[in-house]
Amino acid sequence: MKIRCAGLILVLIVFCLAANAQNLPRMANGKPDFSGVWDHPRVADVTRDGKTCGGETPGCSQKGNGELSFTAEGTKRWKGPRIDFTAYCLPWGYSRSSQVEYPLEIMQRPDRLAFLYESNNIFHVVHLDGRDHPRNLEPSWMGHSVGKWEGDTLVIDTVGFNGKTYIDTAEHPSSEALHIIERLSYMDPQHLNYEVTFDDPKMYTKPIKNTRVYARMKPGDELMEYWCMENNKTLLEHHLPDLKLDQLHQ
Amino acid sequence: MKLYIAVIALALLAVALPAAAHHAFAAEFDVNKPVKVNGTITKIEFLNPHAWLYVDVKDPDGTTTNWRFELGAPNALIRLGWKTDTVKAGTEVEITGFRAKSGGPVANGRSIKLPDGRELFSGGSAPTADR
Repeated sequence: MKIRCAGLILVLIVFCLAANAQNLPRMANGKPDFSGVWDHPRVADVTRDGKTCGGETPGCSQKGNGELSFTAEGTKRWKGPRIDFTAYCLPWGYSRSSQVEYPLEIMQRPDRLAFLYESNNIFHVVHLDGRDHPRNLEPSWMGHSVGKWEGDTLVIDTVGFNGKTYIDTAEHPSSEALHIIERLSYMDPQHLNYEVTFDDPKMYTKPIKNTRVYARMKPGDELMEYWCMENNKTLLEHHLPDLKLDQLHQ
Repeated sequence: MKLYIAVIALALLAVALPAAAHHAFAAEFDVNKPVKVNGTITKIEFLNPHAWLYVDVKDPDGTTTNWRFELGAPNALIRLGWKTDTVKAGTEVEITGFRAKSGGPVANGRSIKLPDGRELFSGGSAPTADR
């Protein structure tokens, strides 16, 4: 009897999982379609946990890495003087673009996926056409991203950073060696599982891992405008020391 | 007892408020210097990256000081229920926040009480419990 019950429960679980997988939004090619406006946790510090969406939609969560293990160079950068270029309205970089409190939109085609970020109204393209990263990438703030499917999970691999961005608002450092791997999958039609690994062997002896849940925003919620430089009193009233060009190139 | 309730209320408020990402709160404001003023709104700048609210506050010596409070970005305020004309010049308000490190009548706003009793959260950048 016990075995029969267990068997029945197993069949029901498999049936429910299969039904859920079939109900997920999909592209014509059968791959999951992540298109939509998504609220996500604000992650000011990748070591810490969180349980709210930046835009107040219910259902987000963030599982932080806990304590980080720095290399000698990482410790030097972490404890030394730092400049947060975002305070001067320079780019967030790839990691912080999806860690601010403002939502993002995903627009997807079979061969590419675009993240549209409300914050500073910027975008980032992930190539899904099977290409690899180009050789001799020019370093950039946002890096170069390619995505490959593992079943219904999209694995986004991003390299080619310029080392000028911090991993988070807490200013955990990064270098040109930063390699970001993101795994995106549906939990259900209204929620995404998002796992991110920051691997930067110049700064950390172990990769940094975070697991997050994104929540689909309610119908009618759209991205809005956000500009860093409009009535930015911090800069307009010179609350910060002026940024010198050589500070960007050191 | 009152202090106990105030501490709990402040903790709940801290959980409820979103934090802005444009700059670190601690770079400009001091979480250990809470402030509460009553006054008359003179101007609101509903602009990025932070809205600013200006309030005339009567001092005990009869003079008037124009305080300014940094709020969240317009998009964050709109999601919290604000509109560009939610608060107008001439409205009497009670506003709480945290003072600027640089001193002077400048602060990061946390919540605003309107004459009809409504309380608006500011979407300010003060640190919160889990972010």
